[in-house]
Amino acid sequence: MSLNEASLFDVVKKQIRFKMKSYTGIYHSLIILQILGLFVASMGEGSMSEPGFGRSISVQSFGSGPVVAVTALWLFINTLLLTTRAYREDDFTFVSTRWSRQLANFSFIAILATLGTATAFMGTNALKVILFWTIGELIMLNNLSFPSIVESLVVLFAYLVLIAAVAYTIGSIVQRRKWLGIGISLLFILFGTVSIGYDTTSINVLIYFFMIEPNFLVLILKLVSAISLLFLVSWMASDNQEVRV
Amino acid sequence: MNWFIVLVILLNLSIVSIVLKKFMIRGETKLPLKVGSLATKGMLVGYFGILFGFTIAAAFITPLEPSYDKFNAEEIERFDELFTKLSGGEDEGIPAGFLVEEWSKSVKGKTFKVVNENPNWMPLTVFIVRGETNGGKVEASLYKGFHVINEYVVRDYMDDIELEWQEDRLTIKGLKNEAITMSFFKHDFVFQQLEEERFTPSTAMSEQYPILYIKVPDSVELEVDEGAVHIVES
Repeated sequence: MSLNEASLFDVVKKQIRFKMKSYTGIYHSLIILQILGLFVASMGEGSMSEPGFGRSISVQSFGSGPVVAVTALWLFINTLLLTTRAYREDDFTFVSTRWSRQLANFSFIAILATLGTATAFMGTNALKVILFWTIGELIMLNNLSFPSIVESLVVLFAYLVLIAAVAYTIGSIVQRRKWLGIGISLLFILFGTVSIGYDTTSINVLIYFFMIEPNFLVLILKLVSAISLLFLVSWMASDNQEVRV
Repeated sequence: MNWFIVLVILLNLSIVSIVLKKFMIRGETKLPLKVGSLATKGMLVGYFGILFGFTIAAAFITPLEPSYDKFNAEEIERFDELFTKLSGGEDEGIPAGFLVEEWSKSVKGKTFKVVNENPNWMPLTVFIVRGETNGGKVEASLYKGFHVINEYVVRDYMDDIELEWQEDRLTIKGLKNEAITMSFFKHDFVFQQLEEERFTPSTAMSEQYPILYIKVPDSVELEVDEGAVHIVES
């Protein structure tokens, strides 16, 4: 029995600090993946040419998609790893509860999403500079104003947290019922196969629910609601997991 | 391979190795690639520093306007109006701003020839109207066309078009076939989602050939490849 009664806030703070200092591989993988993303993005998304008659025009298209995509992938995988037994057992080095563990994980995910958002945005700028430098004349199809950059960064952060929430929920469910992992994987493959070429499948409707929303506040509301729901599910799925078994 | 990316990778690797060298505790394990917490912090700060540097640089680069003009959607409507009128043999009240050059030439012989030097291809839309002209002269007008790719007008499009008048012969010269490269950058959909005007590639491509409108008097015989031009019934 300890005479010191640690507050929830202190415990969570210590756990977050521990995670940030211990899970260094997460940062390494971010740097490596984003450099890889920059490399892929610098090769261009597509090109077309109109040779033959008259003037031959070669059109090259570049985009920041690969940089954002690898960042999302990085967060998805690492969040999934956070729910694994190895990472979960790290939390037992502290006098923690399920509540403090979940809070620490959610906060850590938010920190990673912030890191991902900042580096993805700056990586996009790096890509622009690299392309300007190597190509010379780059036509910007969409120049963003400062307010729209800020809004877009908030949206990117929310999307990243949503992706992490999906991963965390899947991880939490799989950790509870291992066979569900196979089921979820099969479901993903099935939905993925069905979704290609069809706009009206339920998974596409779900994606469009977020992707075609043009209003900033409504979009954020939708994303926050989905994230909250997913974290609630993961919270419920991790019931009785505070005891080492 | 993009040499600049290689340079960036080498720069990053150099920073990583410097940081490792500085912060690594050379213990008994002697694992040079074991990265400690401090080294990771250094790497992350270094990575942030590089990206931040690029962001500052991008802030200065982005506002520069490319030497390509952005296409105005109204222009295509006006061009369509021009095309409709000319294709119907009507050259009055056509939209302004499209006329590039006008000619009025007397024909010395009995035959007027229109010759295209581009093999198997006509770089212009040619409308020929037969009828009465001022003083029995051949009158011709050249109207500009444009080629739009991703909402941007291909530069110097009209420079390729060259017409040569030699007595009773109008020659559409062969194109130089110069190569142009246009490079475009667009942000990820997340950065476009809230924008009112989203870029849609399908609606951003267009090519309108320049129009050559020729009025040839009835008294003159016309020699032309009729498959390559449009003879307008007046």
